[in-house]
Amino acid sequence: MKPAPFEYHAARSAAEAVEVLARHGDAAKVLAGGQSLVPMLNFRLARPGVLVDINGAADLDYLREADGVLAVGALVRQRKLERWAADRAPLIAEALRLVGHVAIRNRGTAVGNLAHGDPASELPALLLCLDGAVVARRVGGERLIAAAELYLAPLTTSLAADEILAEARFTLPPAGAGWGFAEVARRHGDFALAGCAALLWLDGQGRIAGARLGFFGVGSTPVRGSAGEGLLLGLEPTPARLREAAQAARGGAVPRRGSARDGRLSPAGRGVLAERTLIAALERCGSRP
Amino acid sequence: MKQAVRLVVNGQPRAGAAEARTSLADFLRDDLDLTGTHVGCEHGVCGACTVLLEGEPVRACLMLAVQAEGRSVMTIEGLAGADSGFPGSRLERGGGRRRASPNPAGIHGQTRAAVWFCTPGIVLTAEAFLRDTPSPSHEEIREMLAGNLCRCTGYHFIVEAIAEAARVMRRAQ
Amino acid sequence: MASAHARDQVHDIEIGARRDGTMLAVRDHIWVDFGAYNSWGIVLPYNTVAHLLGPHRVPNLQVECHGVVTNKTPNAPYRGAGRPEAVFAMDRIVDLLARELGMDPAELRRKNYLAAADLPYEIDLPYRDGNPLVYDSGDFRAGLEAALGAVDYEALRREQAELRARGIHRGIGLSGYVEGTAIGPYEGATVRMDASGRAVVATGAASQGQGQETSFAQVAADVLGIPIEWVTVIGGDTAAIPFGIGTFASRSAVNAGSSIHVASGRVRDKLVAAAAALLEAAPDDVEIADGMASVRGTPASAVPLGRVIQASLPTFARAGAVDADFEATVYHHQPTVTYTSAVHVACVEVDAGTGAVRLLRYLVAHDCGRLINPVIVEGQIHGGVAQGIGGGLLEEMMYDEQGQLLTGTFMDYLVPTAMEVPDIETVHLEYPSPRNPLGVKGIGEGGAISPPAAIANAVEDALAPFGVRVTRAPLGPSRVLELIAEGAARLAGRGGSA
Repeated sequence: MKPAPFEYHAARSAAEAVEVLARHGDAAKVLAGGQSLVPMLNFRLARPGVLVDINGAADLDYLREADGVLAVGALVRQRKLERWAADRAPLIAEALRLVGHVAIRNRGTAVGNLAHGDPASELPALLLCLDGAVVARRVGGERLIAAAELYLAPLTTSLAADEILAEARFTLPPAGAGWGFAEVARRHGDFALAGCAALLWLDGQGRIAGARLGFFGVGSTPVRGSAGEGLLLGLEPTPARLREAAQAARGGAVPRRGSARDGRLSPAGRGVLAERTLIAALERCGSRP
Repeated sequence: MKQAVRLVVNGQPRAGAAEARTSLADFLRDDLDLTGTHVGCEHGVCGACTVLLEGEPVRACLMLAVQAEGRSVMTIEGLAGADSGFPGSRLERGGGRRRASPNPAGIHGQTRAAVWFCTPGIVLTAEAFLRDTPSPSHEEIREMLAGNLCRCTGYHFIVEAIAEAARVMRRAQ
Repeated sequence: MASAHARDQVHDIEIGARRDGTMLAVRDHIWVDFGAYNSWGIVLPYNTVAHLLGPHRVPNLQVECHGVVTNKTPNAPYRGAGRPEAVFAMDRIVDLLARELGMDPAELRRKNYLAAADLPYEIDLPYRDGNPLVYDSGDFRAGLEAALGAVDYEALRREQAELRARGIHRGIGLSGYVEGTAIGPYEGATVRMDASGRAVVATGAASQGQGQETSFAQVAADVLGIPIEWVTVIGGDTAAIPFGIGTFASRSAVNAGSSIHVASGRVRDKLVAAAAALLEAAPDDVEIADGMASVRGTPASAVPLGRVIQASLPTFARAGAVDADFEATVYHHQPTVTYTSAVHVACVEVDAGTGAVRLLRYLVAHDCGRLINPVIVEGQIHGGVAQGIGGGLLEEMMYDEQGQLLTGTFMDYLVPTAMEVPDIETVHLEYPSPRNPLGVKGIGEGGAISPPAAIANAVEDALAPFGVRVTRAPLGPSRVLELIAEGAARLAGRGGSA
């Protein structure tokens, strides 16, 4: 199908974009990569009266690393972040490798994916796992939203109608941290039926100083496996402990919502994924900075 | 309400007018008469609409034509030669079925394509891929191809054709 | 996505056999979901019934079939047209029987597959064209041996056992079918030469991408004795030929091909007569090859066919030596189908922790009679297998309780990509059809018939220690995990062993 007609604004800066949003509020949608929004327009699942295209807002196109935090501007394409992260943040690169296909990642933006908030998406879970936050900007200012406060329901974030997601911040894992990433998808590049990202780092005595578990495709939002993380801290990592943590983190059965691609991998399957990512994270611990 | 769209397509400056909601794919096909870009799903999955935007594969069905203003796009017609009569191009209508002249990578002649609906998207994606990955393994070729659906061939000979094209291109260097 | 659906059948199937594995009887109760409109009568369920026994010798068959009208898109023929469903039910029950008897599934099939000596073999059931259902040619046991040999079945079983000990679950699944192809009753052809010796072939069949422009040209060129480039094929144009039926049911190579073959033969006879007149030779001494006519043993006598044709036209001085009519129209009569057969082997590895199924290898050993064009045949097999793999692992039309289609986009209806389809290995056997002058059989659909069955059998084989029983396709990870959980319950109920 073809989209319903809309008023089109090509913003040349972030300031211009939020100004249009302020004027139109609920009736306006932000267009960045378009890989999530344009299909919805084509199906007429979304019929915004106004489209604010930020592809010309050069001030939103930046990738900065400082003090262990990676700041990703709204216009950074997934492919660009994937290439940057290949050596510097392999967990992010691996997650992005499984987002759609190259043609999607050449246009799709990382921040756009985060703003879209599909519970089966990799990046929102990564944001949670990496103690991330986003910068929401509106006319008159901006605010920081922690990842844990960003996702409310499927495709629903706590962004207000007059805000754009201008930047995402990922706290990069400490030197020596190991990572693991696994998902189950029907086909390569599909949304995950379930997936897990894990980070582990050890102290000087070989005990777990930090653990992170993030799940996607397991409910209506990405989920932190905090219960599992808590079981690991301060202890030596043994296979039994990793399994116990995975089981604690995996969560219960997800009620079927009626969508064909619902993340319905059973809790047992999720537990397996979590365990495998923890094992992989442990194997990578301390191997390189 | 249409607005002017000016862009470079296959090395030539082209212009037209499009509503904001018109996709780049529809603009290329309907306004610029370049029907080698195919529209299969309009939600970015099938890959039949893939074109190269400054050399990188993108889904033309998910870009608005107005977003291509000032940009440089390559379609299959650009790869195969302007009057090649690549199947699907309007240039070939009325002339019976003519095979396109081999593109630099020579891929599409060997893919054993049946209906050719997927082929332009695959050839363009493969062009960009081989430029970045000149010695791909079969597994890497299959991963690259995963973004382009083919319902006819089962992919076996497409993979072989791309591997062969890679060999040909390496030898030429 | 919502125009039509296919494959939606439920079978309640039983098989009876002797302890030594000899099959005696099959009883099947089938429900076919017609969707909201039954536009196709009983074509699909009849195909299912007619193809149920496949390559097996089973002397007794009882089938009851109900078509059910539901609030869904209409059921319509889709590559295989009722045969994949039949094969799924039969190959599943055969594997269950093998397990019950403690026999290897290959061995059980070996014992029951018909061989060349058993053919022609009549099943006491009319085919849907009203004619007797008689397997006319083939050797299904030889096909099975060819498949098992090509895949090195014994080595696969050894490897499976070794890997099983290390907790890696590989499975091998077999499926065999016999397919009635090329339903008639005709597909006519007109073959017409022009003044230069080029030929136009017009037939009612229209190409959908399967290369008829090439294969039909080959048939004509071979008979006419001209280069293949000299032949133009026109399909489906009533201005070129008034009566036709169309391309479906794997019928064009046989029906159109036969008409083209016979018509070309008649045109060739006319060319021979004209050449004989021109060259002043006996018709029996005339040879035509590569667009040239000559007298046997006298190469210097060769003249281009164009000259032969032109010489038959009247001049001011004389009448034409023969009628300048180098055209023939033939409606070859094909009363009933001709049978192809194949055995498919699927090798999978199943991740018992996540339910993910990886298809490692896929092999097809098939007979489709004489091959007109091996490249085109392989293309058809590959394409069919890919669709079958979709049916076995990925593709499903899902509805909610209100009859709303849930899988209405390519994000939800999952067509296999290059990552889900492995290299497809093919072994060609050739048992020419006695039912048409070319000896060919149809190959358009066969590839799609067996994969869901072969994959289901392979997955169940891989998960045998878990007591898994596969009863439906497709097999996604969630479903596989459910099957493992059900299997565990079944084993627990039985005291723990598979």
